[in-house]
Amino acid sequence: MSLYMDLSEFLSNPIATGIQRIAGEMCKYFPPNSVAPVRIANGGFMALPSPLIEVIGNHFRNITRSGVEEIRRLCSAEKCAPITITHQDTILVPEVFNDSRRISLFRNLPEEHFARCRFIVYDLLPLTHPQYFPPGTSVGSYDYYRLLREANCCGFISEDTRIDYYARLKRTDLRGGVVLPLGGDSLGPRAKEVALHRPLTFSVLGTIEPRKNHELILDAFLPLLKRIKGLQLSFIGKMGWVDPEFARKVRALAEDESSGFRFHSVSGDDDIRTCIERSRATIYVSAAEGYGLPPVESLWLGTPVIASNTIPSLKALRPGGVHIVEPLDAENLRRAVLAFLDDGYANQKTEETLAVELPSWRLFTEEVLQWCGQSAA
Amino acid sequence: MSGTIYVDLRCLQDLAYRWRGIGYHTAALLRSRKASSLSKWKIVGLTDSRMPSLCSEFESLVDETTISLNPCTTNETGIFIDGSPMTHDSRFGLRFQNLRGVIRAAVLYDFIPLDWPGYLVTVANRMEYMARLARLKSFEVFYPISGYTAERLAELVGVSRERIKVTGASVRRSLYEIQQRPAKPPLVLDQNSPYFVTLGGDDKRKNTEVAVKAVQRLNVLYGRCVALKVIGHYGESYKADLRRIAGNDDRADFLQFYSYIPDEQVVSLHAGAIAAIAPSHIEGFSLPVAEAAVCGCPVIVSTCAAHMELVQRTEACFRSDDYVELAEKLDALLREPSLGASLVKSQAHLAPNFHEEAVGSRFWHSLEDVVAKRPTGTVVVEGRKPRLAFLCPADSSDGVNYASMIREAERNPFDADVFADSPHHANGSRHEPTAGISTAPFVSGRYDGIISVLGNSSSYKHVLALFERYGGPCILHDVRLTHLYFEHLGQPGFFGFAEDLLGSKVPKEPHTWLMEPDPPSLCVVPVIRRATPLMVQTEVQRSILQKRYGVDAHVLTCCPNLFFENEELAERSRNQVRKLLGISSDSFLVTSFGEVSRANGMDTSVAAVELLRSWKIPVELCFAGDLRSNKLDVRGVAEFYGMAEHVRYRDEFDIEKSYRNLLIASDAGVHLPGYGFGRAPMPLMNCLSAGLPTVASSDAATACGAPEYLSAVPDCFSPLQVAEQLALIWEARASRESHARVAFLETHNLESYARRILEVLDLP
Repeated sequence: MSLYMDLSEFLSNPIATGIQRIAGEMCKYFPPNSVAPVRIANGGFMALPSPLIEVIGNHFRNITRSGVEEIRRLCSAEKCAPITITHQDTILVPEVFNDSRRISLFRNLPEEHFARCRFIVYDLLPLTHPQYFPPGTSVGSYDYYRLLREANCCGFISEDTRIDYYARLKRTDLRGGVVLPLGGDSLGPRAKEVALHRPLTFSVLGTIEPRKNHELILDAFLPLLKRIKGLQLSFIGKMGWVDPEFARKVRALAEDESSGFRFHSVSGDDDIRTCIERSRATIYVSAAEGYGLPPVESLWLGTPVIASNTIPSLKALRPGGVHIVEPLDAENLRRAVLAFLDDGYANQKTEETLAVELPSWRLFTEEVLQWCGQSAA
Repeated sequence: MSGTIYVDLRCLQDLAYRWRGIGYHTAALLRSRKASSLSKWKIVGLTDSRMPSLCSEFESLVDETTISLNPCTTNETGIFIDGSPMTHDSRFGLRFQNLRGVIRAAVLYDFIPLDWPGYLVTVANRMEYMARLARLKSFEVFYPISGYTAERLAELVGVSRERIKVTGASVRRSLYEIQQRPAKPPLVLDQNSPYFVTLGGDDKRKNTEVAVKAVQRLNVLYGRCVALKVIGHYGESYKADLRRIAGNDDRADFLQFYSYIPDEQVVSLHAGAIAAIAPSHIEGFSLPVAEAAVCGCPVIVSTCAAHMELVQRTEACFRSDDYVELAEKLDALLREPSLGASLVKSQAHLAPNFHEEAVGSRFWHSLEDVVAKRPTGTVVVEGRKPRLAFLCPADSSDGVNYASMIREAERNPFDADVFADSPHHANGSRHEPTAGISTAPFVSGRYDGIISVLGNSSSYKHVLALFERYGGPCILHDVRLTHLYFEHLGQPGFFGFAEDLLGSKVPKEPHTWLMEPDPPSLCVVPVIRRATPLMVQTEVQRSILQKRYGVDAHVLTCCPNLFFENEELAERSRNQVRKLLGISSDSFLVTSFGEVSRANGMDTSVAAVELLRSWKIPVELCFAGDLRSNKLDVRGVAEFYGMAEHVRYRDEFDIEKSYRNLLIASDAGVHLPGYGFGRAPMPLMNCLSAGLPTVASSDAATACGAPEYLSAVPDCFSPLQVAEQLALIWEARASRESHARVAFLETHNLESYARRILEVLDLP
């Protein structure tokens, strides 16, 4: 009775960001030999050397070129061996994929084997909010969601995702599966005490794309940046699928040293941690999310969050350290920022972050393992 | 009485004519209008967008300029003036040729190309000239600049004298003004340096050679310099020829050339001359003769007909090929200064007679008389319905079917003809157009309005070609015309066109605009410039044009092409039709009626069906729209989602009848076009006409007026969103005979559409 983890996507492109991060974080906390890594190749599952899990875990503790090379070495063809899945095995699928061959492989598994597959569902945003994705993404990813709909056992990273899955995709009042909140500790240990009276710096983490409302944030801040001395806004994240005119505006503003605006498209974890710790607050006002990891990471590091009321990760937490902007518009966001300019308010919110109970990756991994040890739902 | 005067201003655009006799005369006529009762009329200058722009001096001579050559008739009288019908493409004024209520007036200069060799050198030249000559028959009144031209007009075209008024040609105002400046010391003719002047140019018919030979003879006779000052632009080769005639050595010194000199110098050269020489072999009107008179200089003329109208004394006339005779006339003037003074006196009447106010007065008073005799009004007086012509492709399935509109609207407020390239098929009937798309309606004169219908596909290319030439009323089915222009111009042409529209280099391959939801340009500006008026189908389209281009288009509320009786939509009838089509009574039939393609959500529709069936909804999907070459793709998508047995196609039915039957039999419609820019898609309009609950993209739904049985999904839709809306329709099981349908059709029908067209065209 084995637990396999399908890492096909990660192994072909071992990046440490986005959804790939989830597999990497689990690898840090899997007990030794508890999980066997597999990939899909030649129409079936291929087992990979078991040390690969530890190597991946180490890579995520300290990302290095040699780590990538070691991963690639262990994944080479001669190291793989085909395996036969039995009805007692469990296959954990933590990745999102559109590859039609991979989807077909799962769909063509014998029913009792398919029932043993455990899919982690992150969101249904391409189906529920297609306007936030490039044209064609929604119908292009539909086959993946069709597979998820047919799956017997899904784990969801938020209650919102679970509701979307059952109420909309399966169109049923039933609720099944488990909720597996993602960990907030990627960037290091939790803050035991927090710095108060921080500079007037506000940070926005995440890929710049329409769904994250960066344009709204900039609209809210521009009048303030001109008037309030020392006020600074930072965008930290890649430029994603955005209007070219907005991208040009962001870059031009960042080049103007007197603007009070900074843009960092590439940053290591240490730099991100430092940036968050020095911010008076982070801002996360997405129009829609599957989970919303950055605000959890911000709270973990002791920095309060200005957020919209649509963030699933924050809905699950006890209130503390979060300022909700409702309704979400430039004026209300500006009011939130102005509230944080008051040291008393900002310090209070900062101190609240210490008391918030936050999920960790270790906890996430334990819950995943527990879920995989259960029989199919 | 009021009205509109249309003037062909191409001779003022054309660099070859703008600052020469024809241009001066046309501008002078327009300037002198203010003394006429017709000055109260609106005057519209017609220009050609392919020619150089009109300069501001000429723009100020009219109330407005336009590149649209296709006005509608009105109840007022109109006048069309062609300032130079023999020099430019005669098809320019085609619409005015037979237009009711419009007086057509032609200004004529000469028929020299026909009467003198060397002008119509090719067969094509001759054919063009004869075509222009033939077209003269369509004019009512003629204003030649000389009696000679009038005579030739009557001979060549058979025009009666009552329709001809000789006006003469206008001498430049500047010559009068300079001549009338405060008195200078009278110029004493310098008998020691006598000279003659002649005005000419590179055209050999001006016959400068004879003047050179004659003056050269005088130089030999007198053994001293008698100068000949030649005013005008001559090429170097021609100058060399004239110098050779003059002697080609020191003896040629008497010959002096003056090119592009200011009018002050023209006047002073004439003032100091013994005489001016006008030696042309042939002229329509000889401005040099009148100019010499204005400058107080006697003129010696050749005996061509145009000269004989102006100068009769034999001492001042010579045969154009006889330089000896000319030399004798010149010699007489040298020996007898009193002869020159006598000639000046006898020619003095020419100056006031050819001032532009006098010439203009003759022109405008004649026109006033013609207008006074013309009965007013057209449509109302004639007591008939307005007559319209529609130029549209046979398959304007993306827009109103104009043939149906004309034939089937019960109380059509106008009579109309459809000009299309082929018959239109609808409802099992075949509608033959009146004729193909051509200039025929423009020539015919029977139409009060000629309307071009344009949309964004290659089927509108022929209409566009005509519209680009003539402009006029235009109905746009689409406000984005990228596809149409791409097909019309081809890729290289479209590249240049795109750069012109943007005023800069285009950032990427322009044909990628065909796929973009928001291209840098909608490629509609050339149409906007020519449309008078511009009509669109929906308020959303009007708003788009207003925001992007500041233009206020008129909205014709779009209407369906198909209409249904209530009985057809009753449950029993619907069941019968479903049985006929082989559709189970248990199934939820969803039909897509638009063109089938991925850009129109074909794959999303199939995925939505897969999702609906997973929800235990017994949906069947039918693609009733045009499959084009996409059937294999559709089948592939259906098989990919395991829905092959639940998807049907148009070629399984006898589609001419079944399109309508499917509108009756279906339980829901789905219409997911790509970005529509406010277009009300005809397949969707027909769904609404049938009361069929339909799911459509937001843009299309808003454009159609979004009645309550139309469910919108975002423009960037997903299979989930489409399936959810269809599921709601399935659960509601609404009746087709709804008040909402009735309310929709009250404002979206052919009669309302037709009435609105008349309202916009301001026809009764």
